[in-house]
Amino acid sequence: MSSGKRRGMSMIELTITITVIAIAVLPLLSSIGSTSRTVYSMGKHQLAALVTRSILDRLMLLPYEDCRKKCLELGSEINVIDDEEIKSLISRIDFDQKDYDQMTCRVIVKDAASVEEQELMFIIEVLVSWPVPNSAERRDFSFKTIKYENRI
Amino acid sequence: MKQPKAGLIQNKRGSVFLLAIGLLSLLVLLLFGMSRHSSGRSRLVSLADQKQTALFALEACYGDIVSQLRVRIKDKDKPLLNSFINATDGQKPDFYYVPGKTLTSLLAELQIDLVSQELVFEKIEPLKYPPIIKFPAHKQPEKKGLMKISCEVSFLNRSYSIDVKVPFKTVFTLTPVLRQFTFFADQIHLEQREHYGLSDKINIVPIRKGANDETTSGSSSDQRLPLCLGMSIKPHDQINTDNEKEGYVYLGKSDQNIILNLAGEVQPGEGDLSDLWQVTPESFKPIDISDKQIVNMTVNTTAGSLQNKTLSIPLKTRNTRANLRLVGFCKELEDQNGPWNKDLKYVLEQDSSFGRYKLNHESLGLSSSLKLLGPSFEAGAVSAKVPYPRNVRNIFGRVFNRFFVLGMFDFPSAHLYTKLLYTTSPSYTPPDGASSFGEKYPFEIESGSYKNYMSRTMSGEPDGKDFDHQNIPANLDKDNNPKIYTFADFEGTDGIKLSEPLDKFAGQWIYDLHNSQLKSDLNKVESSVIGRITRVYRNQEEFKLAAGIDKGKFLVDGVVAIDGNLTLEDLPVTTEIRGGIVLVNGKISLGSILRGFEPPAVPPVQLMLTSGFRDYLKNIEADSILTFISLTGEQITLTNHVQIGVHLISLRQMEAPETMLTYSEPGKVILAGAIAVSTANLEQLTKKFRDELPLFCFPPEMATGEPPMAVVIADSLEGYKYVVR
Repeated sequence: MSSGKRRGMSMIELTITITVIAIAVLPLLSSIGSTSRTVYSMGKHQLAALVTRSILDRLMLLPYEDCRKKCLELGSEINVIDDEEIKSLISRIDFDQKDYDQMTCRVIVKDAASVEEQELMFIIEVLVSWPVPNSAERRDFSFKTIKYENRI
Repeated sequence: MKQPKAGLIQNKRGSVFLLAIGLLSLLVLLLFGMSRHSSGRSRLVSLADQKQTALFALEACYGDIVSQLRVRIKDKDKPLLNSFINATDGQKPDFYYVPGKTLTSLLAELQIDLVSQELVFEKIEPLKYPPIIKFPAHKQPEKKGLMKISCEVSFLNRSYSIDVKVPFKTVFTLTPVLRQFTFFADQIHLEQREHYGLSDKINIVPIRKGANDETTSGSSSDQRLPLCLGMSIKPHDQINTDNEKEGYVYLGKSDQNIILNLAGEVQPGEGDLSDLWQVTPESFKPIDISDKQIVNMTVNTTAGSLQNKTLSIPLKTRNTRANLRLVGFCKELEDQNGPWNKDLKYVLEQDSSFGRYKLNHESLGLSSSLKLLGPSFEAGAVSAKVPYPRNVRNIFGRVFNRFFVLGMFDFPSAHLYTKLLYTTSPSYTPPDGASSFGEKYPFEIESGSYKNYMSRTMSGEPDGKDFDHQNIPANLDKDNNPKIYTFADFEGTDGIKLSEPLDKFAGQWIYDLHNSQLKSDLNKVESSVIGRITRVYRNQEEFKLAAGIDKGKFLVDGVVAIDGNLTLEDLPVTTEIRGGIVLVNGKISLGSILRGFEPPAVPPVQLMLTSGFRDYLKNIEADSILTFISLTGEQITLTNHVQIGVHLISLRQMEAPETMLTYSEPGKVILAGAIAVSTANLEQLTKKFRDELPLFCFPPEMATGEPPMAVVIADSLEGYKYVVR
């Protein structure tokens, strides 16, 4: 045996090692990617919740008739930063403008469940949605409550 | 030496594996950390969403409770209203709650269960009254307090609860004290700086034949008719004994004399403005007036014989009488050739009160521009055989009736008529009468003294005793005796009494919203109308929207304030009017408020003669009355002529009369309600009535013994606690 020769790692060994590491790391990297996406999605979700709550709170502060009118105005989907009021609202939240990119909102008005209640209240649902990166899919989030007429 | 080299190589080979394993471990740890972070954040986000969802659901729950309470209050649910009116700390409102359908469906959709709800009164305090008002201890005062609403829901195995405290007030929707006055003018004395002549701006209506004299004024724009306060009693029926139902009158200030010239006539029942029917035999105390009546008698004057109202009193000498003939202010008196002129001039030669008319002779034809007891019951369609109304409307203030008495010592069977001259001498005795046979008929009276029988100007010198032989208060007490009514005589139907003169009321009750005194003295806020405010509107647009004018409603409910002027066009609302007090921090302008009433083609005052209108008036409910108060004491302008069920108030201290109430143009004026203005500026206002005698009439329900009280739940909250368990 050539005991006098300096023996390093054989190419085979190196190849096997790299292959093993690669096999082990790839799912890990994939998992890291998935976790990052989840974290990103959580951030968007939180932001959407904040915007949803802010819009709903603001609508609830309006007098009954004004509230209904505003809700109907916001009935079609708009980008949250396209609406001046919402824009002014979210400018007070500490996020970058780009965080709202393609985030849309709309307000759904549902009449009261009975005829007697229809002049007294309606249901407001504020729905905010945002796109999932690198996907055609969109996520959405909503809060809902009842607006009551104070002048009875 | 080779072996160690081989060992080194072996070690190097191990290092690669070690490095690889270390790297993998790091990656695993990183992944684990990220995963934990992610899942923790995910849990937090989920919890926050649940918490917010539950909160919105809980807010919907208490909103549903408040909404149902408001509906039942609107529907006048008596037990519920009484539980608010009688609320004490710790008590629960009389209210059984069943979640509404909309709330139930929302909760079902969110998979939230309503576990419990509770309502309890807290911090209940009676509202204070100013020193002038003595509120009866046995009556429930107005109140303020909180209603604590607690709701609990269960959502995804967690319990969430909310406690909110909703302020509420129970307030009268009619102004205390003032609501009982059909006409309240606390500084009208400013319109009568002097009781005679050009400074007298109250006695300004020209009268001829007992009616308005249209020929006197140079142009139609100078014509004027008096402010006429109609009465709802039926002239032909029994006399009303419920004076409060006719509405009181106050002419102030309380320490100032107001003299009203009674309009005269030559023939009884000659015109709708003649006033002498108001004079009762009791006015002639201390003559024994038992069983005496004022009757229409023929009197001989220098101008011939004519009919007039006379109190005929038998004297001691058989068949002799003292006849006190009543003469009021009219053009016939002013006329040098008129039936009364020469007689009065002769008999009142020494009467300084009458003497003042020589300075301004024309004022003999001017009567009061205030008809406190409405038009004459004797005129027009009404039979002349009308019983004298007694004690029909309480008139507060030092208000005196002025007219003339032509005293005659008559022995009709001998055709002897001796004029009883005015004299200041206490020992004067009129000359005996003598028949053609030489018999003497001395003037011998049963009661009183000569001055009670002589010719004189009644209420010519009211600075003397309040009630003596020549001063006649316009007011009658419950026994029909003339009496000056002061604040001490006021007793509200609700039991309120007064501790100070009526002209002090406005200063303690009404404040400008921005009055600096209110900021420094909380007591002034709490004890005045300001402390009763249930809602404040920044401007009239907000108020109109809230009142629902655009929806054909006019809902005030409680005491609301507008920070600015109020201009209301004609109000087309017919039924959906809910009364209350509208405080306006500025000027008020109102159009017509008809409530479905159709103004008739006939002159307005004739309405009071129709039972249909009287019944309509009686059916105006107290809780539908709309009170408009100018807090700044500014002008109230009526742009149209008919207002039904309104109380108009503008009171403030002033130095000279101002136009506090005006109509933008003349027309057939009908106002069913009440007016309280410091000065009416009658000189200007009466010109607006030149076309028709106006009618101001009082809905009897305004004087109800149980004034309506509104329960108003505020829109705001005073406490908010949200708990997640």
